[in-house]
Amino acid sequence: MNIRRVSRKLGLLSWTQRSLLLEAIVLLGVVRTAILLVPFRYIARTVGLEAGESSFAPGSMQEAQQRGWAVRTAAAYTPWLSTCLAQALAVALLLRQRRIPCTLYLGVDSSHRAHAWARSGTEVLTGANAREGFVTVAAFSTLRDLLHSAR
Amino acid sequence: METTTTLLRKKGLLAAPMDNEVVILNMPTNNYIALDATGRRIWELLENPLTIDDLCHILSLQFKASPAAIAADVLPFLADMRAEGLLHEHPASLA
Repeated sequence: MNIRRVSRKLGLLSWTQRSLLLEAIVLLGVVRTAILLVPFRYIARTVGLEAGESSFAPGSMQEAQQRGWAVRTAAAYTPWLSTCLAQALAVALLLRQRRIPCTLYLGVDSSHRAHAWARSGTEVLTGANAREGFVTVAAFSTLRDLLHSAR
Repeated sequence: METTTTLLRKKGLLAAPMDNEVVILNMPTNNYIALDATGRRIWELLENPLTIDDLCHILSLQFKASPAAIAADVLPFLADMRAEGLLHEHPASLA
């Protein structure tokens, strides 16, 4: 992706989309650093993740989908590798800002590869395409007790 | 560890059965531990406190092997699990 193509593509986005994209890039950078430096359980605590799944009720799906799009897109453009875990954490943080619950799943497949994906309401927002064949080992959620979002 | 040592698996670990295996997430070490069918059986048995002697006895009945043969394989496995923090000694044997 060269600069001209990227900026032309950016020009086609709405203001909301552009600002979400920028937020997502920043969060992905922060999260990546945290993952490199800090054990997961401290990251989980800071992000506000508790063991268990969050609501499956489809409230605020448009906002959730927008933020999922922003993180997935930003991850494709970061000069560093934005892992599945980084993307899941970033989207959980973006959603928490809007008081939208999110569940982060950690799993392995039969070859013992590890994967992380994030679900909010009825949709898997990050890590969905690689999810096949993976078994959930752990689930952590933000805003676990929120039954449905305000909007 | 003595064969009279009582072991117990750590409570509250997140684990998922998968085919014949069980995959355990060990958060303090940031590791996934995959146990095969035999390891899984031992993991299940150690949900409650068991002495190593009793564990080997149960396994020798299940796998139709001598307790000594069982112990030769199981003791290193238990030591590894303990080093990883998935098992610990139960107070019963520390008295």
